[in-house]
Amino acid sequence: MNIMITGSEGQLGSEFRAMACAYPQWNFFFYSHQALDISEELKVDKAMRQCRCDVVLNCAAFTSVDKAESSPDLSFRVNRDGAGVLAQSARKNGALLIQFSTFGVFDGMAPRPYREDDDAEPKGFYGKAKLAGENLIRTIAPSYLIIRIGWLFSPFGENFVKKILSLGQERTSLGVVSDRVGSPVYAADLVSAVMSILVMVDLQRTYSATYHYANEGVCSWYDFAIAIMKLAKLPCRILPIESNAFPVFGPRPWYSVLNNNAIKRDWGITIPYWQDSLALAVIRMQALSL
Amino acid sequence: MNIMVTGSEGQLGSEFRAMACAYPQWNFFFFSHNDLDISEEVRVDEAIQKCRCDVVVNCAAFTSVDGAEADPAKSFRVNRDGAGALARCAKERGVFLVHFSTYNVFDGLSPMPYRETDKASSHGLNAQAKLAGEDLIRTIAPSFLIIRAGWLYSPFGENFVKTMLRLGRERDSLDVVSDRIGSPAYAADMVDAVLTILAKADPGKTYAATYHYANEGVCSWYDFAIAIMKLANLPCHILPIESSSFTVKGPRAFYSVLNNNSIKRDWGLDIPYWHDSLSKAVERILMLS
Repeated sequence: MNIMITGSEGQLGSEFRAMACAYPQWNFFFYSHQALDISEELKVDKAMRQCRCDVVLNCAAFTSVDKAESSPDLSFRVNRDGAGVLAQSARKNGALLIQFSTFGVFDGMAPRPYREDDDAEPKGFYGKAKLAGENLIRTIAPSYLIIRIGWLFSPFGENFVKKILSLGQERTSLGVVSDRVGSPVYAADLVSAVMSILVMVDLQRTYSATYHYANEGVCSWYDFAIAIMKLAKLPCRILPIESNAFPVFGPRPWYSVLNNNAIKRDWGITIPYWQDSLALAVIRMQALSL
Repeated sequence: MNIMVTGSEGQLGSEFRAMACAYPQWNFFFFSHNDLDISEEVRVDEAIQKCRCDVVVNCAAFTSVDGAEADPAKSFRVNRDGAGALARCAKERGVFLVHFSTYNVFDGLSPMPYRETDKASSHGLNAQAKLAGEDLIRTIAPSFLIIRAGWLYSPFGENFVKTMLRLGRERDSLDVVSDRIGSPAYAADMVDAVLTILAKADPGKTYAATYHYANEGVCSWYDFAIAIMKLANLPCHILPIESSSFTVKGPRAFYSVLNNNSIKRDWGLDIPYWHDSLSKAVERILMLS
């Protein structure tokens, strides 16, 4: 099986690179955003043909919620147009397309975990662009899985865990928003779930499914930060603050918990508890920074 | 200062009894539900007079959400009529009334922490009785504080932490609901906060405030159960389940997180993180057993 991975320098792409060696039976082709801009149709098509691709994993995304508000064009080019281009190439080449999307497609006003069939009503340009990308894939790609994820963290790129670890080393106390809740997602767990799915997948079949993936359990950003400090044994004190005391540019949802039952049920996978995964991630990050 | 505590055998009442010795300057008068039924107004008035009470702390309540659906009259008698009787006696005798209520007065459909000013509109009978009790106190009592608590636990009475510790010893694995979230409230923290408030309150002033009290942070029942098992070193494996696979009689809220900023701001309180308090409580519960 030949697997092409776009956005290979991002959080998810880097985890795929780290885990590829565990699957020597497959050929992986990694493309960073410099190597391949997914909105350029000719290049995408050529790359897909060159690696005689059976599966495309799209880890390329424009993920900044705030920057999507100041430059929506950039977000739409990658998140919507890029997804559309991949869907068309996947169709031409008969490849299975796996797309990653976000809790940000929901408005965050639900009181209970979001299911895959809940109405997606994004508030900001980031969520709108991701949703438009999802819809192009649903319309165009012959076989696809769309996986919406929670609060992503990993040793790579920019994320909340890395930010809190670095602030925890610099400061004695830190105010963190306590009124917004969600489910963290350790990129390594997600990638390992996708690999398990790829082992089970039947390429003769076509798939058209949307799934939610997040680690088990919920927390506020404040709970998340406390857990990070405890695991890293940093003496920085975390203080709860209301989000209106911390202005941001792009819209932030109140409630971002995802119901992850469908992916567990359909593929027989178990998902680790967020604090257990966070413990593994923090150890790994500390080892990497030595 | 003479302080009368009703419902003294319950979770909150027991914590008041445990903490009273730290306030030797005050006289505490404890009445269990066997000593004093708060819906019997004549007897309540007699008790208030006898202890020449300055403050009544009402810890008496009918707390079973399912029980209230089966026997609403009982819930209304304690939670509404009892609160009303206390309010009238407090008015008659010029007593400051501290009353406890619940996150359950909200419908649990909000995506953000409930503030005191949010509209209370519960579907359950127990919560409707609690809300009716609150309203009687607001209308009648000359000086009062109403404190709505989150998911209450303590070493006393029946609560989630004690149930989990018991089941954790009996079973290898346990299904716990993961789609309902809230903020735990350790009774000892809450009682400590109330005693701090009583120390700061000005006897010459009248108060008319509603507050939310919960420990800092949020969790689902599933997260809560995992934390309990870890702290007690129990090998029981906690598995997440959806609440739809677990039938209960009374309504349960999806979202029960309370915004606790007003009580912190008005009284200069610091509220501990839920996990830190749970760790103290589990240690205490294991010692007591």
